[in-house]
Amino acid sequence: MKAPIALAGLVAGAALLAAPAGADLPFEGQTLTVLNWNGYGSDTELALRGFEERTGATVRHVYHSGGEELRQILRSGGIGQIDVALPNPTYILQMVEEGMLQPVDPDLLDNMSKIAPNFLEVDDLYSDGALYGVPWVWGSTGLTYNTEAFPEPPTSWLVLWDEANRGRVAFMDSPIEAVMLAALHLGQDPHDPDLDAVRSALEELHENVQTYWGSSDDFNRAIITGAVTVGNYWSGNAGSLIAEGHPVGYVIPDEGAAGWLSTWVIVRDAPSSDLAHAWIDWMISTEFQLGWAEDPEAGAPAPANAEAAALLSDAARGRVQAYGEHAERLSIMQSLTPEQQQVYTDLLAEVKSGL
Amino acid sequence: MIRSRTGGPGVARALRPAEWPRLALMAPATALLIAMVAVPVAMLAWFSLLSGPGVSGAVTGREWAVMLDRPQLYGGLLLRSLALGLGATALCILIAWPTAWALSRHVAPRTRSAILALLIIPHLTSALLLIYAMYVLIAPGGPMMTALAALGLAESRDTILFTRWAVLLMLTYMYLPFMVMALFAAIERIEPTVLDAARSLGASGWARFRHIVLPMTLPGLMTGLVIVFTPAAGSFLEARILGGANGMMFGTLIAEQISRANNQPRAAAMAITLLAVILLLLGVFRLLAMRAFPGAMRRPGAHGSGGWGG
Repeated sequence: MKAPIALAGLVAGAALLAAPAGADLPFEGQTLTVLNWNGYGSDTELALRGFEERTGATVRHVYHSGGEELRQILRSGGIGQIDVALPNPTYILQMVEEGMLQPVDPDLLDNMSKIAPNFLEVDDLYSDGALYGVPWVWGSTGLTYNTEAFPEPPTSWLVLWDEANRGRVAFMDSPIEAVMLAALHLGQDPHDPDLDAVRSALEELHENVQTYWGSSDDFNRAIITGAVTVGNYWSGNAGSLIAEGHPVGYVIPDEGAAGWLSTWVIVRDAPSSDLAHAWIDWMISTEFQLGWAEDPEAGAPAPANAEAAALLSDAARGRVQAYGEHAERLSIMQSLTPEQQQVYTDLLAEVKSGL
Repeated sequence: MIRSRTGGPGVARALRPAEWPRLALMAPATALLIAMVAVPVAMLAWFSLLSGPGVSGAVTGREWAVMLDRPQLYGGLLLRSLALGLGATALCILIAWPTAWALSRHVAPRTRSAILALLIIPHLTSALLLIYAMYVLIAPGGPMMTALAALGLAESRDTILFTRWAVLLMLTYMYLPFMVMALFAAIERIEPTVLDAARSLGASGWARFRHIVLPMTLPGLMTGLVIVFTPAAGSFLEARILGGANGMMFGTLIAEQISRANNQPRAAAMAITLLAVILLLLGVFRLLAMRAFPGAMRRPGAHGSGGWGG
């Protein structure tokens, strides 16, 4: 555990040296207001002190407990008070339409070039060609398996459909994830598949499913007690199981997998747009992303900054599941229209009912 | 009727003086029932006529049409939920009756309070906690399966977890105390002298049960039926966690329509269907009970002064 901390310290030290001592701090005395989940990276000691040292500005946090509440806070007086927020990108388009956001100027972000290019291809980040969301961290829903049951790591989603695994599969109880996974398995566009084919594939899979898991607790309990041996699961939670020494493996199969991004946005009428840009630039910097991911207690997802991902220690890389080849095979989940939401919900419900 | 709520002093003065205390005492409960039951049910009925998503759509009745269009799914899930609810209720009755009888007739009052407390205490915690406790208990390699394996009755890896039997077990456990309470209260009302009289006139144990105990506990049984069957038939959390791939219930579908598809109208239509079917079944049970034991459902002293529901 010593090496990664020393490495992170080295990078931090180098960055400090690079900053000219005693230089005028550009935002001395100003305050930045961040709207985020409690304990999600931006309120760590590393984040707060690092930002203050760079800009002279202090950071204030307003916490929310979900995308719906985030938007509610902005609607009820948050605009004009809050500078930056971290919504799921699937909310961005709606938030732009509600007039909650202002575009991000990528030229003001020195670290923008370090973001892995495939994350910047996600449609949901843009509206009318302007960038609104800056990718920060990511995760995937990959194939998670018991290494005792599978000494040879599986490489394809086919294993879920394998008759040998009847009653051994834990499948995520999420319409969009189910449809995307089945589409990838069928070699179709995960964002616009043939839903009849998806339905048949899921009905076939239903024969093997032991449980449709709804929370990480459900999945952990099922795989640890041996009630199931394989399933689709979130990278970060699978990484935690591996780090805790459970006989668990995680892989992004050859067909690819669904993934998600967390993205920073700037709120319309932010008290200081320049300071907001400076904050985002710090959040996506190699120094912060590496430092956060290396802290075993911080629960960081994989960094979107490719340079930081490349510098990770092996332990941290396994914990946050930040493998470059994983990122390339991801299909980032995109916002669904209300009609799609209804169709996907009904489709999975019918499959689960077995009727 | 409920004139007291809306009527001004003019109306009030027209009332007989004897009605004053009754109306005053009923007013808070009446107001509460209107606000918490009548209004929500009316809103539910109204929502069910709109088309989803959300509740700002036009009145089309489309969601009812969607439901009727898929009888296999909606009807199938409804039957599954009702069967599970009835199964749990039947098991509750079978277990609770002897328990309540023993508590009332064969246990000293002090011990009885302790036992009743023990029965209730686990249920003061969150339902979710109880469900997860059951999960641990019946998990493969868990305490119950290990014990069964030690007795040579089962393999310790075999388990009913992730089957509907696990859901049935959970629902029975969940609602058992309510049934015990309802039956206990009814059994307490049976005068021992009545049973003594029957015995002295030569009635056998079965005859005393059939002609005295059963009819006299029938009102309690019907109360227990309402308290247990109604929530058990509408449950979905138990099935979702313990039922595994077989855990889809009618209630699951209602919850998903709201949390995933934002389709309150569909959820409302389904909720009304469930409510109507449950009420219908409870009505049928009541009718059967009154047929089988004429007069048993009439409570002593209740000569027509009850309900303004007619």
